[in-house]
Formats: sequence, C-alpha cells, structure tokens
Amino acid sequence: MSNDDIRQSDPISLTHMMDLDAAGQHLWEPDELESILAHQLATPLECDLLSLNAGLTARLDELNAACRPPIATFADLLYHAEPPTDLLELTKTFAKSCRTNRNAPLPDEISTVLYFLSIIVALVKCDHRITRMDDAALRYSLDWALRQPWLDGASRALFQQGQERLGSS
Amino acid sequence: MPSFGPADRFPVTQWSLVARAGQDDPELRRKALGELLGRYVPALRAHLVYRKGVAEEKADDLVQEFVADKILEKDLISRADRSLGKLRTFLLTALDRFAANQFRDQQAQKRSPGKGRMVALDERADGLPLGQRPSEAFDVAWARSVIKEALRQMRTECETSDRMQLWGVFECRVVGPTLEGAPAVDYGTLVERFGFRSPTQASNALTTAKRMYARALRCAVGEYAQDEHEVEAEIAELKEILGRAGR
Repeated sequence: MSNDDIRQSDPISLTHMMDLDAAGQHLWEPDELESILAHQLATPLECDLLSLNAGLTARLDELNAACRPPIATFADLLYHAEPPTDLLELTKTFAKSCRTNRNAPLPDEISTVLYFLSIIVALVKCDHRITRMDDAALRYSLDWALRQPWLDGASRALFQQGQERLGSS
Repeated sequence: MPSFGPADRFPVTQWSLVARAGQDDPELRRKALGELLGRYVPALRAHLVYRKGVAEEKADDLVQEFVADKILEKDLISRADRSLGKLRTFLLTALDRFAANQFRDQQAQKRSPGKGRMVALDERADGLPLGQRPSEAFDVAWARSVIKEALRQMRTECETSDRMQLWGVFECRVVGPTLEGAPAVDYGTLVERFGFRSPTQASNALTTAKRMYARALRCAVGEYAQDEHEVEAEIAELKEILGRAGR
C-alpha cells in the first residue's frame, strides 16, 4: 500500500476505511462459506463430536450395525431418512458451542446453519422438538437460512420442509 | 502460532499532539506541531490549488510559509481559542486569511518596479477527480490524510508488537481490495502465507485487525479533536464528506 493508493482511491472506497463497525462487516465471501459448509458436512462426526460424547464411536458402531445407510459424516446424519435424535442433539450442542467460542473451528454463519439444521431435521424427520424456541422464532431463523446464497441444495430443501411444517402448525 | 487475544490498545490521550504543542518548551512545541501539520499539508495544498486557483508550485511555497511563519513561528495554535471550533476549520480559516494577505501584499508589490505577480484567487476543477467540487478538495484530502495516518499507526503497532500477521491479513482482505481494487485474498492462501492453523483462525485475526484499525483511526483523529464526542463526530463528518464527494 503506497501513498499513491490513498491519493488515487475514489472517495466512496475511502468511506469504507472510515467505517468503524468492524463487527458488522462480512468476513467470508459467499463462495468461501459454500466451501466451508460442504467441508463441514463431509466431516466425520467423530472429528467434532467425540469431545462432547466419549461414547460416540460405540454409539455409531451400534447404529451402523442396525441401520442403513451408515452414518459417518454430518451429511450422513442430517440427510438420513431416520436420523437418531441423540446425534442431532449432539450436533446442535456442538454448533451452539461454536457460536459462543471465539476460537471455534467454524464461522458463525456455518455454525448457525448447522444448529438450525439439526433442529429442523429432528422436527421434520423424527417429529421431535429438540429446542425450546417457539415457532415464530424458528420461522425467522429458517427465513434467514434460506436467504443465504451459499446454502447447498440439500440443506435448502430441509429448511423448506421445515418452513412447510411450521407453516401448517 | 500466535494467540489472538484482545489487541493492544493505542494511546487514548486526546489532543495529544496539539496538547504537547501547547507546552512551554518551544522546541518540543515546534516538533509536535510540525509532525501534526506535516500530515495535513496535502489538504492545505489542495485547498489552495483547487479552491483558490493558486498555481501548484506557488501553493507549495504558500503552505510552507503558512506552516513555518504563521503556525510555528507565531505560535498560532497555542494562542487559538479551541472553543471556536475544530482544528480543521481553524486551519482552513487561518490559511485563507494568510493567502489573502499574501495576495494583497503581492498586488501592492506588483505596482512597484521589478516585482512579480503571485496568485489568482479563483476555483478550478481541472486536476480534481471527475465530479468532485473544488470546495470539497480540502476536506477530502484531509480525510485521506487521516486514513493514511491511521494505517501508519496500525502498521507500526503490528510491527512493534510482533504481530505482522494481523497487518498482513488486514492488507490482503481490506486495504488491498478497498484502496487498490485488488481481489480479496482467500483464507486458504492466508493460512499458508501467515501460518494460521485454520481459515477460521485467519478470519478471527481479521476481526482483531479491524478493531485495531478502528482504534488507530480514532487515535489519528484524537490527536486533533478535543474529546471523545468530537472524535466520533469528526469521523462521521469525514465519512459523509467522502460519500458526498464520491457521488
């Protein structure tokens, strides 16, 4: 960065350098969030959830012996026809811990999507509510998620099912 | 790998340079004022060139004379009544008066044999970015100087605290894209370049760097503003000026 860069920059660009609301600025580009979400969904559950439940490996072995298709990654769990609610709750706990920890491995946007995906999947596929949030608050969160351009198709479809479910309740 | 705790704070003393400029030691006062005014010479010069129609080489001389003779030698700032307004406005008014006096003297000398002419006091728009009005030249140049100083302070802070990765991330994601129109460097590259553990750690570093810059900006303005309230008002006004000039 040289003095010339500042001298030649147009005033509108410079207004951004006068903007002190650093927290309000987007840290990640949409294509980056899309990649991070894809990476997170392909991550084995044990990578992130084992620290929250030491018995996770045994639980997955037990589940995968009994049900098909097997569940290994977050995508396997969230897109499963009959996902176990205890693992959805564990996913929700993990996502929430990411939101409250500044050094968490996930950007806020991704942990938020993961958090609401686990809630919606439990509601839509297991008819089980794993949150104390009311329908209005959930609908607001689903609307936010559906506005994100980087959301993958399968997750978007789940949120839309959630919207339909909440809309009719 | 470095940790990213709360960034070190910049000094928060308001009016630090101007206050030092009011101290009794004349040498210290001259040094502090010279340092402060040196940053805003481009703004004073832009005002003379674009608003007053002074030839560029003459504007340089006039600003130098103004700073050396009027401000430093005659100690204009320590005698100024701060309640009358902001330093920015005060300097502009003083410069206008100084230029007018110089012009009047030159005109008088012109009537004497062997004396040359000096300046014509008319606005001119040539040399200014398209659409920018001559009356805005001073304030826009002032805002540029504030940003330049904030960036300089932030970089120095990163260097002295051995956290150049914060400056690096800020440069790649904010300064380059904003000031040079460069594409934002992706987080994967930042991880490789600066040794972060993960892209998320790089984004956390960016958050820290942005807060650091915000403090540096407040500090740069605080060196000539009277209090916290004036710092915030000045930043908001400069932002508005830049927004208006860019339309």
